[in-house]
Amino acid sequence: MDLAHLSQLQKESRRVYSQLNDHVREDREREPVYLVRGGATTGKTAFLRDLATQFAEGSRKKSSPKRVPIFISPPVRQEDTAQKAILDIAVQIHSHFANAELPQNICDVHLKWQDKVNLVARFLEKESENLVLLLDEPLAWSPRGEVDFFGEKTREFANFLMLDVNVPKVITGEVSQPLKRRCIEVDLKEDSTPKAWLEFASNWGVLAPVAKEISEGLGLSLSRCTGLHVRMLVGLASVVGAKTVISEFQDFKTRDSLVERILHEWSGQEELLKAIYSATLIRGPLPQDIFDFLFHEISDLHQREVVRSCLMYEVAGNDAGAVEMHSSTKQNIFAYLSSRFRGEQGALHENIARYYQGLLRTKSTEFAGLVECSSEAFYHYSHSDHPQVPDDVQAFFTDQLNIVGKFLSYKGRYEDAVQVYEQSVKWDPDDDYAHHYLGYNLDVRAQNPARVEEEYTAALRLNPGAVRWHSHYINFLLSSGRMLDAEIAWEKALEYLPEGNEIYQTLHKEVAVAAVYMGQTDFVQRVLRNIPDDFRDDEIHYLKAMIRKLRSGSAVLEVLPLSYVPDDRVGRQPLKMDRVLHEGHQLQLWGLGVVEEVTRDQVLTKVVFFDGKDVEGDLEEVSFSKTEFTARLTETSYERVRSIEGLYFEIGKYFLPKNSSKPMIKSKGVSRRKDVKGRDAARYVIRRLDKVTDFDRLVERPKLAPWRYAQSH
Amino acid sequence: MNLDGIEPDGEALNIVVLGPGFGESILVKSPKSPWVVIDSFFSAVTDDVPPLRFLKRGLYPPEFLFLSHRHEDHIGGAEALIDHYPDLKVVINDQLLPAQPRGATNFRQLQRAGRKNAALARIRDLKVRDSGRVLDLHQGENLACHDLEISALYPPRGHIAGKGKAGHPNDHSSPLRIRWKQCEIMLGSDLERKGWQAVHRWQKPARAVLFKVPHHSSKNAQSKEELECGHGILVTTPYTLGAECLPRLEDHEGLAFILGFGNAVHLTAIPYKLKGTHGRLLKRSRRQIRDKLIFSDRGVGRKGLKLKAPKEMTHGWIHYSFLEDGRIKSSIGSEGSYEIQAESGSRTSQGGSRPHQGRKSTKWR
Repeated sequence: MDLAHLSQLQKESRRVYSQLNDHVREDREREPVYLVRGGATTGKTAFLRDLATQFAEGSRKKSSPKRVPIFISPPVRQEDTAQKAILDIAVQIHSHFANAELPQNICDVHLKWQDKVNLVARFLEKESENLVLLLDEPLAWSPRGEVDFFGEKTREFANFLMLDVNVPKVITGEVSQPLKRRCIEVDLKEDSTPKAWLEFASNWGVLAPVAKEISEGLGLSLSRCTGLHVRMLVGLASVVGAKTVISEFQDFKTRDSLVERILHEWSGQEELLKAIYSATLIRGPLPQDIFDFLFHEISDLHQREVVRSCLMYEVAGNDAGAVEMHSSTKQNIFAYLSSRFRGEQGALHENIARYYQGLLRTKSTEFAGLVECSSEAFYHYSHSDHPQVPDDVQAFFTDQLNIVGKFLSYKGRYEDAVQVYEQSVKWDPDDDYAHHYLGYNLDVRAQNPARVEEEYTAALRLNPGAVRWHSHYINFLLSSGRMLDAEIAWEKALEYLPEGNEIYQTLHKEVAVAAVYMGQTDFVQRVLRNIPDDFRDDEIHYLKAMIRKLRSGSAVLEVLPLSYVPDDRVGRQPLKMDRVLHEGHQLQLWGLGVVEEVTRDQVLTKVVFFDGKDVEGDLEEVSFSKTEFTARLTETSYERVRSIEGLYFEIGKYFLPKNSSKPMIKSKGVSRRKDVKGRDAARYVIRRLDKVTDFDRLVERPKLAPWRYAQSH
Repeated sequence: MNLDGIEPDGEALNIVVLGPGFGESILVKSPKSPWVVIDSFFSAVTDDVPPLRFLKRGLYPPEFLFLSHRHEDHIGGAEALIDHYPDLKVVINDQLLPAQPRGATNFRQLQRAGRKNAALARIRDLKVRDSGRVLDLHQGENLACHDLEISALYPPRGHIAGKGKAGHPNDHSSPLRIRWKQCEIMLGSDLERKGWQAVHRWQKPARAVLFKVPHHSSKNAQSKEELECGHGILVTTPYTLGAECLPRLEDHEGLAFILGFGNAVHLTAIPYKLKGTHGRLLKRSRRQIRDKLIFSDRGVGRKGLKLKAPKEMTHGWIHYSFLEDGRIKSSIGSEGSYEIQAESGSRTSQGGSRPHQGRKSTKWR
């Protein structure tokens, strides 16, 4: 953040600070809510930090009202966002209210999440006169639209802080409409006047000469750049030289092009890039010790300084001395480096986790340090290549175990996941998530079906409104061959769940496709009837079309490969051929077929022909000589003729001038002989569901041959 | 599949062979015993499980369900029977492999594979939860159901068929011999030739009043030793799936081979492909049929015969009743069931085979 912009922010925050104080004195029934708005780089978080500092200093002065700031800025869109938010509250209450029990209660793993939230609510209510809540972009804590279990929890907690807690608040970013109406808005402008900031040598340390050169060379052109942009320009200039940057300034209008160029210039420096990539994995500010840990192998101090001053910025307020990477810079670095280091990401997480675990030994006596190191160790271990519950690290929430269990499950370590969830259930017997995924991981291994059912039903009893719990349970029943029970469970689910996209997508669709894999077409039809026709989902349309064809005894199903075909194309349009014209010639006849058998000299096929009005004919046997078939096969090479058994194809005959006609065959190369192998029994059905649309990718595609066959005959 | 014509005889051994074109199920009942079901299938035409429909119609709770092997035409719909009859015991020797729709590349295959998966998964689940309801019966072992004695001829305990872990399901097939008083019937399941050789090494073949010919009369499943022992009625069911079509009618195929040992074979239904074309096609060889559908250089030619799309028969059963001494009391076939005789009729069966008394049984000479 440049000084000019910072001082402008401080001015604005002082105004809000004094207004907030005045407002409080007048009205205590309905506490004021300030909404700080502005673009991505206007310094909203810096504004909140500054406000927090002012309140913290004010609370120590006798003349000012004694409001304690609770600044909540958790890492966004993570599984543990809600946990980090509530830990933010615990740490700050601990530092300001010496005798409060709340922080200890929040960190007690045996206390349920909802009880912790209730305690927070009671505390905030009680201390509303002495507090101010500073919420950093709470709407962005969870992703928009449909979210998973953890996302839902985060959303609920953010809404609770925004709407339910009657404490003076300053919120950045967006808020919901009802709250927005009663908010006092503060608009932040884009930062400006970077020229003076650039020329102020103490800002740049060893990079000061380059910064000055950039300032002189680009002059007024910089006035349209944000501070973040100017940092990058200086960074690049210090790597490639200021003259190059000045001459190629037009190419660096966007930040991502700048980040890419800097990283490109360092492309030979593996260790440096790895350290930068590791820095993007750190959540929140990087104090000097963590920075040193990440960059300890980089001996070039100039490079370290470029990273520190240009890819990051110094954090003001309580974390003074620490640096932070802007989220957009993180995204740019990720986009550029993820292909290079994706394979090592788990190892880098583990490395960071070990660092936090080690740090605990020195910081365990300090509450804030304990909370920070423990929660980060848990987070990074769960994202490592070997997810685990770290030894000697205190857990604060059963959800921390659940997250480790989730990542163990992703890695296919189901047995370990079972152990973790068992511990989780022991800590909180009412945790529906732990019960459900304990059952799920046992189910994946097709072990102990009685226990699986027990856990699934326990989760449903605790949370009957969870659509996915119902979906997995019904899937389990289907994959156990218990069709009647599955139908009963599905009907029961309908009683609990409201109509809507989630139920169509997560329950009906998954149940329908699972039932297809168990041959239960009656049930599939019943389930699909519950999805409105105007609900947009290609797989559902495909299933509906297939079931319709099955019911009508349509022969085309025998010759239509099990690959995704949109509803309006099933049996009506060719898969590859243009139905009407082929290279300017009118198509006379079109059909779909499959090679049934290949003898020494014959290719025996089944074909369904369609007439001009798209009415399908009967299934017919058509035989070819091998030479004929190969000659007509326009898109499969002759060498593959031995493996054409089971090949799905289209057949068409088109008119040529002089009253002759030309038949041809095209193939998508989907062969029935290819098996799709499941890795485990119970979950197989679910996996295949996901892959219905990807079927083409699972089978080998033939190399495309030129059209010479069609043209030469 | 219309089952209305089946009226069990309360004083005889009843044998109902269901086989509408795809799928086979045999139901056996003595005057004192409940019904014993051997194999089950799902009918895509009537959209149900015909053996279950038959049992529900007459309120006949069965005691045992024997599943000879894990092919969908022998195991489909077993889950419905298991769910409907909570006391039904399932006898299966085959491996209950994980449910995987292997090899399915079109929706129809997927549906069929799915039916098999559902049955296998249900039995596997039953075995885990209620192990007393899932039994096995290996070579030389007997099981009594009131006055019926059921013996398995194959596979021996510890048998591993094929090179792979699983082997071909037909190689695990379990032929059964069912005895009531002096009346013995033999159900050949889908066991193929090598399996029969192993059976005959273990035990000499013995005559039965009814022999359900193995594997839909395919050539590879026929055993000279078994047919030479002079079984009474020879009955078979058709199998139609894609290009597969059994029994094959060409010379030197299974049916011709069987007819060399008996004067007639009862067929519960003709394979779909031949429906509607009747005798004219039956007399033609498969090659001749193919030759009529030539893809000529002049374009897509469909000269000559046009085969109808396969449609499953709505009927396809034969009901036999036998007296205590092994003489046949009656045999009634549904519409579409046939008795096929060899043109030469050179060998005469020693059993008491009689023409069907069904409404529309047809003789072929």
